Amino acid sequence: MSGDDLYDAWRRRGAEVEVPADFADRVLAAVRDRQQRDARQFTLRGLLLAVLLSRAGKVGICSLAVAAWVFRVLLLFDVFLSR
Amino acid sequence: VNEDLEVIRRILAGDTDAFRLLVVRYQRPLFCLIRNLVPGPDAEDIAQDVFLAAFANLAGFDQARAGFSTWLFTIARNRCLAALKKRRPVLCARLPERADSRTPEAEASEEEWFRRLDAALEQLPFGQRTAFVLAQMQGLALDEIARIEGVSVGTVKSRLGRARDKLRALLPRPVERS
Repeated sequence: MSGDDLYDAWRRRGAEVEVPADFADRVLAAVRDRQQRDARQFTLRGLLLAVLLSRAGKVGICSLAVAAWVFRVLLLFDVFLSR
Repeated sequence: VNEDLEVIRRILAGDTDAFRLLVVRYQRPLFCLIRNLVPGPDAEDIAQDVFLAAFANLAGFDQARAGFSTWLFTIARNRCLAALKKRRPVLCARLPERADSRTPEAEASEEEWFRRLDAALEQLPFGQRTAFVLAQMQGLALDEIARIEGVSVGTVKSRLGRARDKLRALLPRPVERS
């Protein structure tokens, strides 16, 4: 076989590829998995936004922040009072 | 092209199953590109990753800039490059030496020649390899390859010429330029 023939045969062989029969099914399954995951994340994000944007949510978050601050201040006083 | 756009319109309207049409239509050329750019067991994962990325970014596809196949090949090209960067470099990588028709190498089997050409293709710089696979194995037009690679048509021609010269040099006698 000449160099030209070898070269052409090799190029043809490179262009011939076997695609697994179920490849499209697997891609579609992966796409649906990702859509479901995105939907769950979207729901969580929506819930978080709803909490953050509602009056009750804001009051709750501020109360927690104040409670945490008070707790930290008490811990600080405790350092001096315990001596 | 119009069929692609119609399918894309359906997908964006919420018909996820329509994406199967695009997968079936482009899986073979995509596998060809990926298998030749990233030989080994990763090809199938990369192909799946490319289709997932295409689906996720379909809303950003701009038909005015390029056709769907060009856009898809660009994603594939970038994923292949990223996969190759993750791989450990091969030590002592070099092109096989030119065959001498007066030696027993000349009697190498067809399969042996193919192995040598495969190895030589793998050693080519990424730009040359991509240009060669897209042009010589998939028959894409030079301007389409230029859009995929993000370079000028002249650069593609030059890369293609250099790739062909290097591969041709391995064969028992020169191959005419096509």
